[in-house]
Amino acid sequence: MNKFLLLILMLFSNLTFGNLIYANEIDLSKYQGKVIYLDFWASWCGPCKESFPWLNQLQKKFPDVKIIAVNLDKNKQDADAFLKKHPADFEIIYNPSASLGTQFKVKGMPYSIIYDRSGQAKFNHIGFSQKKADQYIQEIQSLREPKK
Amino acid sequence: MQLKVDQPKVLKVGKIGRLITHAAMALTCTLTSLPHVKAEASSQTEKKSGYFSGLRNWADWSGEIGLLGYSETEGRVQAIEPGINLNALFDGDRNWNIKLVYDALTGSSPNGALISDQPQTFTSPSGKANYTTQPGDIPLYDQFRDSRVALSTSWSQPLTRLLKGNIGLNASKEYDYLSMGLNTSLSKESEDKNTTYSLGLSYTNDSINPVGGTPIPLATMVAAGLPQPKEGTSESKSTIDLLLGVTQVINRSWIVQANLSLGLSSGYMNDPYKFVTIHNDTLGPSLGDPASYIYENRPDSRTKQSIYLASKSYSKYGILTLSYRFLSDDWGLTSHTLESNFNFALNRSWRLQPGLRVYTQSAVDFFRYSIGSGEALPSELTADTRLGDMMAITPGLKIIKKLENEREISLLLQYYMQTGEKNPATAVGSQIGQDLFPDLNAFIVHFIYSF
Amino acid sequence: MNLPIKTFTRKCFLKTEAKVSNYKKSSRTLIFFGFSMLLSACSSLGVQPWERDILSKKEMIFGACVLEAGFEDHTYFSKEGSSGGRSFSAGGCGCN
Repeated sequence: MNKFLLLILMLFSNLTFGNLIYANEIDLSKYQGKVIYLDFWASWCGPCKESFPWLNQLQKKFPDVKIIAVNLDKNKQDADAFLKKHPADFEIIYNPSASLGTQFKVKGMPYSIIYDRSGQAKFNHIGFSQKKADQYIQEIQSLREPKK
Repeated sequence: MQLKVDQPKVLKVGKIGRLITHAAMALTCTLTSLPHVKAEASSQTEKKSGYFSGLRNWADWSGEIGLLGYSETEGRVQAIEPGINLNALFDGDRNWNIKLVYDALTGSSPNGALISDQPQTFTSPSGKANYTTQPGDIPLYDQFRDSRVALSTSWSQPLTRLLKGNIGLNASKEYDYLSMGLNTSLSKESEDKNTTYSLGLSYTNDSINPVGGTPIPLATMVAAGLPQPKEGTSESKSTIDLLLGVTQVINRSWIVQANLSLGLSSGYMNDPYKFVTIHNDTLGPSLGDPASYIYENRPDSRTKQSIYLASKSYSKYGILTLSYRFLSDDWGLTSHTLESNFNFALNRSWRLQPGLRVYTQSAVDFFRYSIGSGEALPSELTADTRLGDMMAITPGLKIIKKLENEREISLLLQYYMQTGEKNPATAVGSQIGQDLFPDLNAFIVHFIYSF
Repeated sequence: MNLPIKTFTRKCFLKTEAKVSNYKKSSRTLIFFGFSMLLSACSSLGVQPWERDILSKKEMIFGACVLEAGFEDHTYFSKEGSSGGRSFSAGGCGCN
């Protein structure tokens, strides 16, 4: 009975928080032709809290940029609680086994990789700080505009 | 489209382990832990206006407000110490800290003289009055209501991605004491942030203006109203402390720390208000009775070194913190301090933390309960029991209430029990059977709100 | 994938520990050096960046409670013959 309730709750929370997807791999080729901002985060990480509102703004400013935020929490409930406090207007992928952390050689929390339109990883950032936000924007901007 | 994701290299260590010697192995380990040289995004200076400048929080405040209550049993020293500690965090990585503590002290503390079955009369520090201690009572001097203000501030910021620097200033002022210091520290994280090395250096200068002047070391106490054996009004002391530390993450739920520290002090280290009893050492009914009192004298330099080891480990039952400090100095004092506590959740918002501290100390070389009137006076001498053989046990319980947004309130209750050798082998005549090292018991309460 | 590293560090740990016990009789200071060598030599111990959930808890951070540590140091400093050695008094409740 409890498990049933839990299941309903989980389903409900999935609906509430949008595309919460479990995944052990990401197929970035789906977004070929787009600039991709791949973010790795966890609920306990302080700078991640700061980064979410910024990512929302980023998505608003550049709707053409594909933002994927991979959650590496062991427990989904922790991620849910985080998302309740810091809602995300971009795609969230849930990876409790953290296999993607290993695959993408995540070096800190949060960690971001920015891909150009051809799928080449161009920039990566360990951590997040408001101080560097302008720099991130410039980098994304430079990848959006075709080089002259 | 193929994304090139290079896999992390797996160390072929089994083979190496079998082949190379221990020393070479340690070297290999060290090499693998060396930070990798990598290009780093240049740390930019502030920009006038960014795309999302509105998002910027110029300072993110956190801190603590707290109160220490300290009360010795039998009406000795009572203290109330409110304090505030504030941190202003800028851009998530630069921190300004300020800490202010006020301390109000009342009551009386031991003047160093030995308990006796005779009434004892002492001259007060000012030299203008005297006070009498009844037979069998601990000789205490009525500590003037003293208050102390301590202020410290520090700035810390990253110097590179893995290197962090800190500089600080501190000052404290009491009625007869002024202390000022500066400190700096560096901490370096390994590339994987699992190891942190730190190095700290501090310099402190204290100036002491004893009430009634500085007593001439080892001079005999003179009755009130007569010219006093005082030689000056102001003394000073300076201290340099050096600290080396390593913090290591062992695994997901275990972290350890080791610190090595060295302290060098020079200057005036006497307690100007402490006496040493000179007892009658001629055989007869008055053997052991106090004959006179002299002012103490300590060496004018002290070198101490200590090792501190600490561990924090998490299990589903709670968090266990253990620490041990070994300290020794060139005064001949060695001490062992063992601290432990276990922090566990009662429910979602309440936590409990029982703890125990055990401290033992061996006396400094120049500690004596009292000295015989026929003995040659040593050049250094103290009867301050804080420098004698002793042990102390502090059981405690902390009650923590977790609040929203990582704020919390905690109440720590402790009972401090200090005991020493009550009947030392050196006791003679009337001293035998007296409690020559009275126990010190105190209730300690900390109330802290952190935000 | 982490397994070889773990076996490696375990070996490293034990060996250095054996070395520490040899020094034990000669001097306590050397224990410290042994300990810190153990730490620096085996810094492949540790966790991945996304495994810091527990370590980021306030209770798991050394020196997180500045006021409490200050109160304790002040109390013991005024009643006992030894003080210091625990940590730098600097820093705050920075829990990142």
